[in-house]
Parts: sequence; structure tokens; C-alpha cells
Amino acid sequence: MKPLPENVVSARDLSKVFRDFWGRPRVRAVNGLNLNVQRGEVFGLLGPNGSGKSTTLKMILGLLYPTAGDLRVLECSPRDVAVKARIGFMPEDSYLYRYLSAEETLLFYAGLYGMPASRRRQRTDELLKLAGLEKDRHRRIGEFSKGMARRIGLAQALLNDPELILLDEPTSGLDPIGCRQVKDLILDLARRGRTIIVSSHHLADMQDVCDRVAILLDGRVCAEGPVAGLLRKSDTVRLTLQGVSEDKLSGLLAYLERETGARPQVDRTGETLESLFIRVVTAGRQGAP
Amino acid sequence: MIFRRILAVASQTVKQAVRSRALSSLTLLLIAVLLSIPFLIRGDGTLAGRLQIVIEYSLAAAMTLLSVTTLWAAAGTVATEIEERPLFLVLSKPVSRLELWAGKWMAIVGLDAILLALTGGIVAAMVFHIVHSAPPGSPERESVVRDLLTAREATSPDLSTLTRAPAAEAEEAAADETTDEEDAPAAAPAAPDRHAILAACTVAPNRSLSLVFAPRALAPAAGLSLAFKFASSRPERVPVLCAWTFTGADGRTTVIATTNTPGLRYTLPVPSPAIVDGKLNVTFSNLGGRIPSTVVFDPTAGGLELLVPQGGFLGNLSKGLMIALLRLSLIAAIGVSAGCLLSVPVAVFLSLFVLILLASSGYVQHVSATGVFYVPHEGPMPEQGLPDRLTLRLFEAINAVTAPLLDLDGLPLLERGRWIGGALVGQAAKVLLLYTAVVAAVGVLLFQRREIGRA
Repeated sequence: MKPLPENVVSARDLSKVFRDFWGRPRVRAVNGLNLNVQRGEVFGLLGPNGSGKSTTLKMILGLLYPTAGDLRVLECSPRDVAVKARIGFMPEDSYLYRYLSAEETLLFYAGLYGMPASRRRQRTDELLKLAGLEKDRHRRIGEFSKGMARRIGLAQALLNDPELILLDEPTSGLDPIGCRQVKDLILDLARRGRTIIVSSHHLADMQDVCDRVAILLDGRVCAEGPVAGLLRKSDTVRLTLQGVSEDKLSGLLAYLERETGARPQVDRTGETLESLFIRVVTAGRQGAP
Repeated sequence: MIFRRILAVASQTVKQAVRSRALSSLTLLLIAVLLSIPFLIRGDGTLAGRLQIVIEYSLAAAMTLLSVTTLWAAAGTVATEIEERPLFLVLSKPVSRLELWAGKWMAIVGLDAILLALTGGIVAAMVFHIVHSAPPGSPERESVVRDLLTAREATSPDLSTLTRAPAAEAEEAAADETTDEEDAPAAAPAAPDRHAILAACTVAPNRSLSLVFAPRALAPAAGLSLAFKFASSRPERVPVLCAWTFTGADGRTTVIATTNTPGLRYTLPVPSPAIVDGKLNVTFSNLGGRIPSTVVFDPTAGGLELLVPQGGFLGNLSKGLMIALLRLSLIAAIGVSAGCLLSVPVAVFLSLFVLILLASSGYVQHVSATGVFYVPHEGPMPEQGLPDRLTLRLFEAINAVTAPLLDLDGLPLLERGRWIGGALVGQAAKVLLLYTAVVAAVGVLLFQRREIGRA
């Protein structure tokens, strides 16, 4: 018998109401949310602005406290400080100290994990390399472009080699190559058994990396499930052919039309703009002196 | 592990202070204040007067500046990071609110320690520069070295011998009253009150007052001095002819005659043979003068003191600054706790309010003790209404909290050349660190309940 998948994050009837100074309810940001994120999956949290994505992430991080319902993170209360040693978080905005250099930033956050000096130094070097910021290690964050700040933000989220990684808009502000690198990194982390929760508006990116998604609206889950399952149209099939001559294609189309009673739609797929961009820029950089 | 996290927060806070140029600006301002005070305040032109200005006003100005900036920085450091959001990321790491609080507090106290050391260095340099500007061996230089640059412990006369007669009368009176009541408890010996002491220290013309001083520690070759100040029965300040008779072990006496003006403070060198079994016996005689007047000493307000040298100026300054650092650490704790709970402006204003309360604790204690807010220049005392009574209760409550802090300050002793003893430093450390711990506990407890990142 196949064991039930372990829930890394589990929310039951979770609600969050923000109150005003006098304690009167002002905003119900999360409203009876039920959610399970399983170990080793990439889970996408989608929804329009104000749908409760950020509030949910902050509750998972223990920054906000639920008004009602139950929330467990790695089988602990999110307010348990010790559980945060197993979590990595990349915030939406660069909540980094502008006057610290890239290296100092990573050393500082590594210090918060209580790492000894040698381990701090080692992880900092590894992650600066991973983020492609080795040459900018002594530059202050305040001088960074948004893309560079996102990369250092991602690097600090991986300092503790976390079991659960929360990424809020991870590709925002990145160029297509940076985007691709981040997506590849997410997939690589998932392959290594890490659980990743991604919140983003970049639906194409989410489609590329997520195993499952939940679409939030007004603090509730409106749709949830595997990406492939949610996107499947039950009566539509896409057939991809390669190296077919025009004559054979005409014959195939006529046959399919006869058999199905409907004219098949043909589109000639070329390279995606993303892959074209990456190919051109990579070739240009390699050719540059 | 905990210490590494605290250290990480502290080091980041120090870097912020350094790189935002807040520390360099404050350092320059502090140096400017310390160096400009002697030029801004006009003294009496004497060497002692110039030294008093440096020691008293420069240190007071530095402490005021550091208190306000400590409060501002402490209240702002957490509150700003919550508003600008770097704390969202910090608190998503395994760092507890207590560790965050401790790191911020440690950084601010560390910076205060550096700035206080700088203050001490500048004040000491200025003091020695002024002293060396006087010719070596000159009476003025000798006088300031003896009176200001030597830390001397002040000992009041034995009050029980002074008030023996009134106390004995009181005991007899108490005994008479209880003879009829067999079950009444035995009356405890009454502590001499201020009125009894002043009555005992009132010396009419051609009368004498015998005093016994028993200092805590006495070096045999110590250069002892007698410091005194008296009031006169006459409204005009008529000089009084005085005689001080010191009695030695062999019964030989040394008499020193002085002419002193009421209201002014004097010091008198004590002849060394006058010390017998660690005690000094001296008799003051009021010889009258051109216009005889009765004089009154107030030993409870430093009107009669034996000054015993205990150390040098630098050691005393160090201890004074150590107590100042303990006071700043409490102020930093108040600021950090307020900043953990409130927005920047509210935290700063609340902390300033607390600072003003602490600064007014002398007045609060006076009102709590006497029940009098002010004494009108003319007319009778106004009757107290309900608001006055409520305010008095409030003052009493505040006084209950602030009274233990009242005398824990070394700088007033420093400016009078008084010895700052280890007992005072120990007491200051005990009380101020206890208060700091209480403020920290309350601040962290409430901070843990605070949500970070509200919409």
C-alpha cells in the first residue's frame, strides 16, 4: 500500500481578520482556507491582488497569527522559532539592508541561523556563485539592480539548505535568462526533495515549474489541483509531428477530418521567444571578447 | 548559537549606524559640544572655575546629548525596520524576539560605551590641559589638585553624639507616657530628625560645638580636609570669626582661626596629629566678630564634612562614566522596548516622556514626601482640590518606581571632587540592570504578541 504523502504545510479553515485600532474587523484577508502542500512538490499560490496570498505566506512564516483555524508547518506551529531553521523565504520586495554588501548580507543572515564562522563563509561563497554575484560581492545592495537584488534575495533563502522554501514573486524583475535560471533552480531543488511554495503573477512561469497550484480569491481556494489536470480540456488532443512533408500532412489532415468529422487545427510551432532570446544572448556573450 | 544570533543583529545595527553616517554625525556633534562649552559659558576666571565648567557643564551636556540620541536611536531601530520591512525577513529566520531585542540593545549600549569613552578622554584632556596652564607649585594649582582632582570621600559627623541630648529627652518622655500602659511595646530609639540635627548644630556667639568624625577608611598620612558651610542668624552676610580646635592623642590641641562668610563653602586642612583611633575630634567655636551672629550648620546637606582622599581624578571619572553607561543602558532598553511595540514617532515621544519623568524624579520625590507642589511667594498655601489630590497619588506611584534611581548618578560627585565608591557603582549596577531587565521582559513579552507585516 502506497503511504499517504506527508503534508509539509497544512491549513484547516484558516482565517485572518485584520482589525482597526478599536478592535473592529476591517479586512477579512483569509477566509476559511484549506490547503495541503505535500513534501517534495512545487506548489503555486495564484490569485489577483488582495486575494490573500501574501497574508497566507506571512502566516506560514509566523509573522502574522491566524484569527481562526489551524495551521501546521513541518508539523509544528509556525510561531515556533525552531521550525524557521528549516524554512527559507524569499520575499516579494527586497526587504534587504541597503547599506550591506552582498557578502555581508549573506553573512548576516547566516549568522541568524547560528552557523559557525567557517560554515557562514563557505555557504556565502557557494551562494554568491550560485546567484552569479561573485564579482559584485562587495557592492552594496542599495546599488543593485532589481534583478540582482532578487538573486541575492533567493541566495539568502537557500542559506540553511531548507526543507521548505517560500518564494514570493521569484522571477519578478529578472531578465529572461535570470528567469530561466531561477526556474531551473526551482526544478533542481524539487528534484532534491525540497518543498517549494511559489506565489506569483507570472502564470507562464508558474505553469513551467509547479506540480500543483491553488487559485485564491477573497481569501478562499477557488481551484486547486495538478497543473496538467487543471489545464486539460477533456475533448481536445494536441498531436505534434516532426519531419512531415506537405503532401503527407494534407493526407493526414484529410484522414483525420473524415474520421472525426471536424477540421483539425494546424499551427506551425517554432521556437518560443524565451528560448530564442536565451540562445541569441548566450551566443552573443560567448562571442564577446 | 543564541549569542551568535544576538551578535549578528548587534553587528548589523552597528554597521547601520556607521554607514548611515548617524554615528559620525553624533561623534562630531559631541566633540563640538565638549570643546565649545568652556568658550560658551563664562566662569569666574579662576582655575577652579574653569575646571568646574569643563567637569560639570561639559559632562552634563554630553550626557543630555547621549540620552536623547540613545532614546531616539533605540526607539527608531526596531520601529523603522518594521515600517521599512527588513524585519519581515529577519523574523522569518530562527531568531527569537528576545534575541532581536538583545542584539539591538547591545549595539546601542556598545556605541554609547564608545562615545562615553570618547567623552571621558576629551574631558580628561581638557582638565589636565587647564591644570597645566597654571604655573607648577602655584597656590591655585595646588588648590584645584587638592579639591577637584583628588577624589575624596565625604564623612558627616556622628549625628548620634550631636543629638544625644534631644534624643535622650525624647526617650525619657516616651518612657513617661508608657508607664501607665503595661502592655505597650518598648519605644524604639528615635532616629534624629533634621530639626533636631539643625538645633544641635546651631552655635550662638561665644558658644562651641563638639564634633566627632569616624571615617570608613583612613590612611595615616592622608591629607584630610574639613569642608563646611553655615547659615547666619543675620540677613546680611556678615563674616564670622571662627576657631577650630583639633585635639590630638596626647591631649595637645591645635587651634585654627578663620573668618568665614555665611553661605559660602570652605575647606580647612586637618592637622594629622588630630586623628585618634581613626576618629577626628574637633570643636567649633563661634567667636562672634564685628557683628556677632548665631550660625547654623546643616550636616544633612553637606554643611559639615570630613574629606578623606581615596583616589585620583581619572579613576573617579571612569567610575562616573560607568554609572552613566548603566543609566544609558536603561534608557536604551526603554527606547528599544517602545520601538518594538509602537510606530517611530509614538515610540520616540513615549520614550522622551519617560526620560523627562526620570529627569524630574527629584521633584516628584519632593512632592510625594511633602505633598506640596509649590510654595506661593505671597499669601497662604492654596487648598488642594481633587485634581491636586489625584496628581499627588500619581506622583506617589511614579515616585515608587523612580525613587531607587534618584541617587544613582556619579557625575554630581565628580564635579565636587567627591569619591565615587565601589559601593555606589555596585548599587547602580544592581538597580539599573534590574530595571533594564524588567523593561526588557515587558518589552519582549508584548513584542511577541505583536504581528509583523499587517496589511
